[in-house]
Amino acid sequence: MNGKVNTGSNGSSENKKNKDPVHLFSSWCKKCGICIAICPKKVLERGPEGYPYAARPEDCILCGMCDIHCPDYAITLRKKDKDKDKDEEAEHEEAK
Amino acid sequence: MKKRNDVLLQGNEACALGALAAGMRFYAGYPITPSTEIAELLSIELPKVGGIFIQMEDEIASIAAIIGASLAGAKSMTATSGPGFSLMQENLGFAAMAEVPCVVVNVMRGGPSTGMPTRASQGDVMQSRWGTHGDHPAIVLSPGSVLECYTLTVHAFNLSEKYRTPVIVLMDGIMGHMSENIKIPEKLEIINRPKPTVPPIWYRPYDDIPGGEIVPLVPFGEGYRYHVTGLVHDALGFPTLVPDEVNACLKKIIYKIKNNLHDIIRIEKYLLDDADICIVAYGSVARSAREAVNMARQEGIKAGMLRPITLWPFPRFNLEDIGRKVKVFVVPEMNYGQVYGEVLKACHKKVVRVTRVDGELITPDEIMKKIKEVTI
Amino acid sequence: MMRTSETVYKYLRPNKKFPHVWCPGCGIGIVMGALVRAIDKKGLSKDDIVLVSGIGCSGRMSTYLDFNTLHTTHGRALAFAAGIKLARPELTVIVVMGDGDATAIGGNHLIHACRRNIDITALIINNNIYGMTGGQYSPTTPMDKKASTAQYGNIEKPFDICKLVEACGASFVARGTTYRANMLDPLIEKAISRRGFSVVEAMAQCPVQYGRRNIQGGPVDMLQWYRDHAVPVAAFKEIPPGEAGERFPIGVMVDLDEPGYIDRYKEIIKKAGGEV
Ligand SMILES: Cc1ncc(C[n+]2csc(CCOP(=O)(O)OP(=O)(O)O)c2C)c(N)n1
Ligand code: SF4
Ligand code: SF4
Ligand code: SF4
Ligand SMILES: [Mg+2]
Repeated sequence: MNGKVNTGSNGSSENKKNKDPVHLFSSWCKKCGICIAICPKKVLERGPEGYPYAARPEDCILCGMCDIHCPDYAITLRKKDKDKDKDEEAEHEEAK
Repeated sequence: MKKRNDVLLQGNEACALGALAAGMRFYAGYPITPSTEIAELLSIELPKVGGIFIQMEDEIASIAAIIGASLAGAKSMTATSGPGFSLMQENLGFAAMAEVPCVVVNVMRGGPSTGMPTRASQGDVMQSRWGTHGDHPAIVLSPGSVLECYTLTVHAFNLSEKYRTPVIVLMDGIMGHMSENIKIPEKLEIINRPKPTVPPIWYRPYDDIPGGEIVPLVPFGEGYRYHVTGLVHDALGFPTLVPDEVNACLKKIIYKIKNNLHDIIRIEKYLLDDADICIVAYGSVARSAREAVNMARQEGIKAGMLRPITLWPFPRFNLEDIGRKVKVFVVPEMNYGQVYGEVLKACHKKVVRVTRVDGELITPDEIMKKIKEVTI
Repeated sequence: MMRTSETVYKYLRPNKKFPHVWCPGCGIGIVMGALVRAIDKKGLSKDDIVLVSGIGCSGRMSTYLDFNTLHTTHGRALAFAAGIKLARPELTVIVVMGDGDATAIGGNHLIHACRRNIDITALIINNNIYGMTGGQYSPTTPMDKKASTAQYGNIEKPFDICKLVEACGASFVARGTTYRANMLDPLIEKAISRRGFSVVEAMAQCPVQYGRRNIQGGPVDMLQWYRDHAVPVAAFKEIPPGEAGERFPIGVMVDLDEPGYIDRYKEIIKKAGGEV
């Protein structure tokens, strides 16, 4: 596994609101498990290869605990759709 | 500070004033006989020119602080003697490896260990070359008069800035405490740190440029963010263990000196043109040697003197040349023969030594006695 | 919403290889994240920051961050930093050291840096062990704990780094843990903001060399240990004497914000008739 991996894909992605709340850069992840243990909502679980993935994305409250405690900066919160729109707008502006 | 011309100065004072003249603006040190006067005078003079004087907790911290200050752009210096010089060795190697200019003055006293604090010696010649671990470059200057304590300190800063390497001024206790009337030179060449020639993204602080050009060291805080380490590093300064990069790194720090011997090495020749006997002497002993040459000449013995002003890199090629003409070398020094060994290596002539380690200066008579022994 | 890792990316050197060298679950990475967030919050320019580090696992931090960085000799980082700060007081100088680096080989420099009160921020990453050299006991290894050179248990009394630097005159002293990573940022940020010498002791797990020998389990168990033993200063004071056991206080211990060495040296320059 390399580069940006969509961790939500292994879990249930039904929840529309919080689909794929976190991003994992698997090539930086050392599978230490801290993010999984620190998550207050037990959103994350270890996948078959040892990498964490959002098993219960619908429970994620976007608290950022996983992100801040990852020693390898391998897990980060996905931008909210609102933020994404903003960024796209900005890009659009630039392109003009 | 007032311009001082024609003044009575001690070697240590001349060294301190020379440093100021060279533009030194940061001094960190720890008191130790016989070098302390340098610190004392600078504690008075540096604030007057807006410079920093700080007495650190030991010599390890002193040399660390001057390396730091130099990375921040200040010409910096520390001064010490034997035991303190021993403590400085690790960071001296760091300065050589990280290519940070700085000047270290070692006013030699009797050793080993605490030895004889108040007695002179020349016992640190080898330590000044090989004191720190690993293969490394060394530039070591040895003043032979109070005036030279001044001018060579200026020269030390110049070489240090030019070659991005630490330079050692190796004085002996006699030189440091001897007073002489000197005329402070009005104009001396001062080399300042060159400005960067490229914008930040193209800056490669440890680049090995074919032709030996030395990359200017840009002070921290000027927009050129780079890494400095004592680990073997690549052209950007980052640690590496790639054999080619390791070779390039280590070769460079040594060859920037080796390829510029003509610029770095200074010697003084005294009555050597027709000499049969060459005395090789440095520091305060060279003064006795000069006297001994005069005495020998009066007795019709063709003696001369070679005084290595640059002790390291050792002026081997000059000795080879002289060795083709003279019959014998006499090496008087206040140790058991540290430069004597170098002279032996450099020429295939007879080499004899006059040694003293009891803290007393070698007299002209002692040298004369040896000259007579070898002429018979 | 906190996207803290993305803040960190802005400060990582693009020309360095990641993941970094630290072992899986090592606390140093978490502390580095906190440091970066503190700097980001303060809005300091990368060009104005000098990050000086010693030798050890923690010392490797200087390689990764995109500041003016200096990786010094073991124990001497503070002395190098003093030279930088005095020569260029306008720069923000931050020093990262390990517990061995700061309190064993560099102990003398640490106590004198506190006394001199030069405006430097010292971030001491305390993992209670010599990590890099393979788990030998350090001056902060607790009594009876095991290390590769204390196979029968450590018999030396450990330093309390915060108490030590407080006694030596540091003008800001704080302690945090990697379990409360989000509390580390404000501590570091405050330390950078204060005049004089500031110390932040970050308790950070070394699962490989310390945890393996002394705590059953991995990095997660070590974080849980911090959770159970780190007590906010105020609450810690309520604990009756002798009953703290292995618990230790976290938070701000000293906050004096006194004029430091540089202010005093400026007075010296004036006295000598020089120009500041
Ligand atoms: C003068 C010197 N002595 C010993 C060493 C070997 N050494 C390197 S790191 C280290 C200990 C590091 O421990 P610590 O400071 O706690 O840092 P950590 O690795 O735990 O982060 C030692 C003893 C050295 N590099 N230099
Ligand atoms: S904390 Fe980071 S390195 Fe550890 S398992 Fe989670 S994502 Fe991977
Ligand atoms: S953001 Fe919070 S709730 Fe969501 S996965 Fe991370 S730790 Fe769990
Ligand atoms: S040895 Fe310990 S301190 Fe060093 S990187 Fe590994 S876990 Fe971290
Ligand atoms: Mg440690």
